[in-house]
Amino acid sequence: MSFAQIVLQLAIGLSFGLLLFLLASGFTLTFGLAGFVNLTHGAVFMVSAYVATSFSGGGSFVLAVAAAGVTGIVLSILVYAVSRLRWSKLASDELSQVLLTFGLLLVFAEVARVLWEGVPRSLPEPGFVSGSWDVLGVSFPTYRAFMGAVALLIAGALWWVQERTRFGAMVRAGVDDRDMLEATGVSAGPLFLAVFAISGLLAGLAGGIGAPVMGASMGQEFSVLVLAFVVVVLGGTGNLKGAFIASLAVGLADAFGKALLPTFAEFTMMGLVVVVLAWRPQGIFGGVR
Amino acid sequence: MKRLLVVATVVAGIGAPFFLDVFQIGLVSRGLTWALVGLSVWFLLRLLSQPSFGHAAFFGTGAYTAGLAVSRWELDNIFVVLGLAILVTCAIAVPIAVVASRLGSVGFLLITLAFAEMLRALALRWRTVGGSDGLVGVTRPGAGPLPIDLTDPVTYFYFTLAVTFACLFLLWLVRRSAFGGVLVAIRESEGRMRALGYRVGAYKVAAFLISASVAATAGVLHAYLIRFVSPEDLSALVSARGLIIVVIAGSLLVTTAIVAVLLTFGEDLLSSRTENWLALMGLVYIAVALLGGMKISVSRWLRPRRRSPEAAALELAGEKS
Repeated sequence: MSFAQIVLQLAIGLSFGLLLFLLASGFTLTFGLAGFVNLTHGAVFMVSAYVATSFSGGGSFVLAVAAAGVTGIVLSILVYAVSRLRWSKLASDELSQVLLTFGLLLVFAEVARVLWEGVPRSLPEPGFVSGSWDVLGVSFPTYRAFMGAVALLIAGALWWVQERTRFGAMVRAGVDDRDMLEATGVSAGPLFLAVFAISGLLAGLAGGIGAPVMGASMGQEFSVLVLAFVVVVLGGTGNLKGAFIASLAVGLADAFGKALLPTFAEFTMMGLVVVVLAWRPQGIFGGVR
Repeated sequence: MKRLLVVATVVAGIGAPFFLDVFQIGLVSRGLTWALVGLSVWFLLRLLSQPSFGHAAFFGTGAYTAGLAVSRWELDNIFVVLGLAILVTCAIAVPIAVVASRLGSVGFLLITLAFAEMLRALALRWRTVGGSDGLVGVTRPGAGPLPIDLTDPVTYFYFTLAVTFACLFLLWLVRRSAFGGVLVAIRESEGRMRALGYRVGAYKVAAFLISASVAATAGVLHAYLIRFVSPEDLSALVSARGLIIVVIAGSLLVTTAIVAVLLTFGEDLLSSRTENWLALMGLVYIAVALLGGMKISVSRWLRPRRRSPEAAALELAGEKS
């Protein structure tokens, strides 16, 4: 692998890692705050990506991404609404959460299969960032850089909300100690709803801006979800900073794995998981539990 | 009541070929392999409180080993294949076990699912094991010293039944053994067991390997039953099936087999009626998650709301003994 190749894979890995962070941060927030394991997260990503590709016929790219974001919010709130039916039971029972969200995942995937006939679809990259850059003799698609930049921007906004607003303070307090937060007079219900909506928005946006690179296809609901899991476990559950570092690591492992061992790409990822968790079982920055 | 249920299940199992047709016998055999997956998940969940969403990895590895054994390596003895499948599965399970058993219950769930999905992605692309087409032309091998012909569906059903009950019995023995006691003690108080000098990590890995071996056995039986191995054997649907069987069946071992067979018949009915049967299965999962445990909450309402700490402690002691 030449130096230019390494730089190229670094760039691809980092841009993908940033996209992955959008997905994983939503998952890790709902888990950290509401203690809810949401397996539908990958399906929300996939359906949003499909919605975005519906705008491929000359529609505006911004509109496509916005529609994907709205789809994400709607689906995520739907998941929350269904779990609200028996929240008292689900809240303390992870196994039931997993069965519930797995069932919803199957329903979402099947609806997507009916609506889009199970055919992989793609979204053309917007005109203003099409083409590619020439870096050290290898070409790097401009859109990937744009994707990474937008993802970084959204991640920055998330960080600002989390660290600098009253709402973010409530979320952080809830992640640390939910009972104490409720005792101070903040009711958890609306807060959970907001966090579910935000996590859906992030997954939807990730599906939308990822569509020109990854497209939308059946099976994504798992392939993407698994990468998000690896990020969450490596970063420490409920930990945004850890999720950010882990996203970049997973993005890089994915890019280099696919470049070096095309058939056995997964081994790089498994290797990363084994090495990191052998070193720090609680995740890079520790976790909620 | 419990004994009666066990006897009834055994009798119904042995008598099944007398009142079911060949197709239904195949379905019951299939249900028994799912019961084995359920048992392997049950073992980790009940003894160590570890919810595995990744037993498809071991089921699939067993199935692939079984398929490759007859189609590539020309092994013609099901016992040899079973042994080999368990060995291969354990080799794959060791790193997963070492990593997963260091995590809490949610981390355990996420990482086992992640590993299983990675193996599936691998099987989809790896041409040597058939890629996305899977392995076709899988035939049933001989049964070694036993004078039986496994190609006969009824014989194969009895073989599956015997293996299922053998695994049931083995897991029951393990649970009652000193080893099982240590596992339960680790579940209840890991720190104390560590302080007592038990090598907690090694116990957890050993339990994981026992569970993976049972899932691998199920994979071998399933591969020879339907004579086909595909990446679908590694999919999350397999792991989810194991989990839902355990959740519906509750703590009783033998109900696992009954629930698994009923679930198989239900799935077959749905998939023969509509091609969107996965969505319907999804609704089943949602219903089980929302409705499960309803009875317990009802009995909780009936109980007096406030109890003194002494009464609660007494009740806890009663539950444990």
